[in-house]
Amino acid sequence: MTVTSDPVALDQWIPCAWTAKLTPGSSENVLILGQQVRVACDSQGAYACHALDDDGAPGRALPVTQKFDLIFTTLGTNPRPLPLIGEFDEDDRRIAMCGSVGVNTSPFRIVENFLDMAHFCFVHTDILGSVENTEVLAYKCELRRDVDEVWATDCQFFQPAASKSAAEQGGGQMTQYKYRVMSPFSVMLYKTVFGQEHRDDAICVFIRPKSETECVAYMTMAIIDDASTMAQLIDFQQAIFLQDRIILENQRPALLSLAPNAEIPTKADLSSIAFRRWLKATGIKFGTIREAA
Amino acid sequence: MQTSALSDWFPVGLEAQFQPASSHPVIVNGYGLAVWRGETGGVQIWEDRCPHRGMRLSFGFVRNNRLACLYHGWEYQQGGQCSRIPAHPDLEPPKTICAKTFESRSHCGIVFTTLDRAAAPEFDGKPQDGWMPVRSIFAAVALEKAVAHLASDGNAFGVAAARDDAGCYTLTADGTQIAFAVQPVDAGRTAIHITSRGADVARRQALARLAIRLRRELEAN
Repeated sequence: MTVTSDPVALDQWIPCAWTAKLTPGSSENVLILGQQVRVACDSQGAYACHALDDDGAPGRALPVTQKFDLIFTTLGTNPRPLPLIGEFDEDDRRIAMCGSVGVNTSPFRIVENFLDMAHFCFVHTDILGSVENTEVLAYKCELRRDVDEVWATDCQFFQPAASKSAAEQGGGQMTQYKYRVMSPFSVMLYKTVFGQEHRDDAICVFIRPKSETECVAYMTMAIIDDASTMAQLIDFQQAIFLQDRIILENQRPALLSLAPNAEIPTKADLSSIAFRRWLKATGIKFGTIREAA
Repeated sequence: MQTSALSDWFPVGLEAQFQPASSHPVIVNGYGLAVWRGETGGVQIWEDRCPHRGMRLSFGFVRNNRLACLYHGWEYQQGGQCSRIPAHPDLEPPKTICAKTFESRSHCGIVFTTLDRAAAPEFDGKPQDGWMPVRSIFAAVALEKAVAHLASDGNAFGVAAARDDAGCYTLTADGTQIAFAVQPVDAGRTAIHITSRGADVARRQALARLAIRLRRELEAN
């Protein structure tokens, strides 16, 4: 497999392992943008990443950083900074690593699916949406130039069982959402905490593209929920994500086209349209369909 | 090498396979098709791709003679026009939102299409009474090899099949007419759809077993 030469893709922090899973003295080989990388934890608990040569021998040392319980590395020299997500520093929140899921599609199909509310009724039926309430109400979308992020705000959707704790109570609720594209390979949402309208759960996906159409999605969240067990929280998120994977692996083509007329959006796709426009402006080619000159 | 021109007529399956209110994925020459039928009406053959976000429409569900995409529930009428976008229930979908559709024709109990209607010749087949499904087989061989084997008397049916005007291969064995339609799936895979006329159930079951032998022969060397 060849390593991408796309400078925009190379200059990103890429998640490569959960800190809790990589115990002292252990290492793991992961594929990043076509490059085999070894991520290791020494006996002192320090992390190191090396690009592996074709024969599997460790070559170039790569930068390492850790945040959100993940170890990140980059193949580039000037990576876009990791996002600030204040919720992960709040004392009363539970940080739930919801695992990593392999998804064979472009990283950008994963981001778009995460931004999308219109599929709740059909893909997450009777959990995040119901067939009686399919309407996506008008919301706002903006490019925040100070942080170079795409945000969708004032989003709301009727949900029968919006979260683990909401499902326990029953009856459904109008859930308020905010969405945030933090980089080409990471996206998050804020949604109303059940029973606490002034606070938001924060749910994030960091994507490790193995190739243009093969990814591993690392899901993590900082939430307010005293009742559920960690296993229940993780089960809920994984069940949702696996429902999405059926869709994600069956979109054609897998690569995202950035041509305006390749796919037909509607009003509900405002955030997807903004994301594609922003993505195109980054100059990234990786994971997209190259347009004929 | 392209095994056949896109303007050729290709079989996509047995008529009996496409039951009312069902949707099926079919691959012709590497090109994904969604073949579906409403509760009433004929076989619809579309590109296997929702114009909205590319989801394969063969995963969709059929209700009220419409095919609904699994992803966002967009509903499409027979003929391809989008008729409902659930995210905006009061919106009348613009005429520009239309699935890409292909012709559907029937011959010897087998459904055919062409991927390039403008360049395709007239279809010489016609619906005929009495053809009953035997079975479809999928063999890991190129189309040419499958055709050459059908046309030799060394095939499992013991009689060389001859090509008819619509591109079906037919033969008569022990008083039974048998039709074979050969579908290029991709460069290394071929489907053969088989029907018969004038055979009772027991005879058709025997023919289905011969079809399996035919697949083994194709893949043996």
